[in-house]
Amino acid sequence: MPESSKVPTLRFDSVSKIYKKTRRSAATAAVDDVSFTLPPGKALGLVGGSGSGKSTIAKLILGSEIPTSGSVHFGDLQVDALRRSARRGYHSKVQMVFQDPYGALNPVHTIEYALSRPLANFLGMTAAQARDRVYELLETVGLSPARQFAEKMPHQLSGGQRQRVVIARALACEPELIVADEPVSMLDVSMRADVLRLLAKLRAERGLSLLYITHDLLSARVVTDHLIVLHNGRIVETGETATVLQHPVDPYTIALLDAIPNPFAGADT
Amino acid sequence: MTAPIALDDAPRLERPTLMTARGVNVVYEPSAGLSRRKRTAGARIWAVRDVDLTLAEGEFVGLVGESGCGKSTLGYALTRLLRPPARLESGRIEFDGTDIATLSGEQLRAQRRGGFALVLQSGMNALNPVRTVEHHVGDVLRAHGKAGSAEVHRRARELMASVQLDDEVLGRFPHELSGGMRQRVAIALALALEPRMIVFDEPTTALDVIVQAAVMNTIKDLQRAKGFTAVLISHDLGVVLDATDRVLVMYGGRIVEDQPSGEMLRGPHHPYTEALLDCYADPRAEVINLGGIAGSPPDLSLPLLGCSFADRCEFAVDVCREVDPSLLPLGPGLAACHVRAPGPAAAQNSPESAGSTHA
Repeated sequence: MPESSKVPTLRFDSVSKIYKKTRRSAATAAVDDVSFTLPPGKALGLVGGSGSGKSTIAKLILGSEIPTSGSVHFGDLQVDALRRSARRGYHSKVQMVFQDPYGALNPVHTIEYALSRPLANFLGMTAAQARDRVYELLETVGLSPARQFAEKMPHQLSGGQRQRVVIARALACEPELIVADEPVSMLDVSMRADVLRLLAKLRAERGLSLLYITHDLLSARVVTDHLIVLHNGRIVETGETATVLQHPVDPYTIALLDAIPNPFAGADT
Repeated sequence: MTAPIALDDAPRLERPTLMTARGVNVVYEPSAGLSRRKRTAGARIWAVRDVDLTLAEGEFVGLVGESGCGKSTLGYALTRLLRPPARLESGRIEFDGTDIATLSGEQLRAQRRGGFALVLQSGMNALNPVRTVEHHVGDVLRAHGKAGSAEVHRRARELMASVQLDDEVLGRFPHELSGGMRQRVAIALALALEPRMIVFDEPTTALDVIVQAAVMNTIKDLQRAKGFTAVLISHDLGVVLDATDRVLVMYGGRIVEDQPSGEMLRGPHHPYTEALLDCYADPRAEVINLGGIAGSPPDLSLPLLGCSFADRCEFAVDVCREVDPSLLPLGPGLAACHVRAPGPAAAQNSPESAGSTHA
């Protein structure tokens, strides 16, 4: 189990990402002067509506977008200045869980294959070495008997099971930071709680940091310690998750809370 | 048969009936509609099983359940939009007294013109990417011989206003619109022929919470103002309870509970509905205790033995695994549960053969 203290801090310093003007649209600041830190072993939620810049922040962390200004650091590494060769090592430390568990797994390969790719790519394991580790990963995310699941194709699994596979794949190379972009929004509500609890449990057990991106405040409340509310690329409110949600100050945060269908938000029931 | 009797016992709003479905079964045939070469030896899926329902004029009804429970398939059946490999295996669906299965040609077109309409989940897929919004509106109106070009333009502006979009949207292409705007356009197209019933299939699922709330408000306002019958299909019980008068909960191809929305929120009767409600909480609450439902939905290629929810139900008893529960009166509505709404089958543990008159 890696010590939390060894996990680097993720730091955004006045980061802006401006998409250039095109024939059809004006220049857009997807991320506008955003600064925050994600301390080791903590879970930070990024919440906001469509177009608030939350997914762009995920891309900036992964290095698939380069900031227009400002810098992104992961410990001593300056992510936006990484050379191609250094990216590879960085990507084994920072892993992504995507929204769509149907699109994130190659439909023509078995689950074992999907999970053994990062083991071969990042850790240089042979197929035989990888096999035991694949079973271990499947057990970790609650897919047992692991041998049976390893042989299955993605279409034979439910959405919740697929998302567990995607989480297992993210864990395969012992990452220090997981970026989860709406990991439960495509799952049935009845499956969400279990996947959220799994994420929270893995983070606590492995001491890794979690950046959780969502527009669903309830799930953010369940898995995160701190919350950043984004609107039009800017941070409008930040603080401890429970405090922000119970005593929201910014009108946009209040609007997000009010947009939750009444039956569950009303205190009068 | 006890089901229709149970339905008649249920309290109804004092409104004329618009649609009734009796004994509806929909199957997906693995080989239907495919070329010989592509046919596979898959199993038949019984997606909708013996569904009875009644929709009143002007009623706003929700249809809720997990992925694969048959809710969209039922929605397609009600609007005569089932396509191979799906097929109406048996049952009768009447819209305003006419069996919609027998409609064809001009009669079916007449029903689509002012009868029933469907709004799909993804606004992007429902719209033609190389046509402007105005072209879409014109297409609908002209296909049903409703208008000349001046009339189309006037009506198109009217429709945009009714879904709170600016006229300027008419000249735009679908990719130039946000998800919420596309969904509003899809709603406008459904309204174009002033239908008496609209089925909304997950109209806000792809949208973020704030846009979702705004689109749902538009749907609610339009329903109230125009008085059409609305069926809202969604996996999100929260959205449905907030918008509708009555909620039908589907599980494993069957309707397992049918209650007024307020009643369901105060106290769900079916264990499945109860478990679904436990999956929600107010993020502002002091303590969050989020529930889930362990296990997976039933395999719909297999015949039903007992209650389809029995394997995941914490209250299940022997009879639940042996006898399929019928929808019986419970509270102000109906529920299909041996434990909560014991019928003759649960009492005697025998197939339903009990007499129809018992007080």
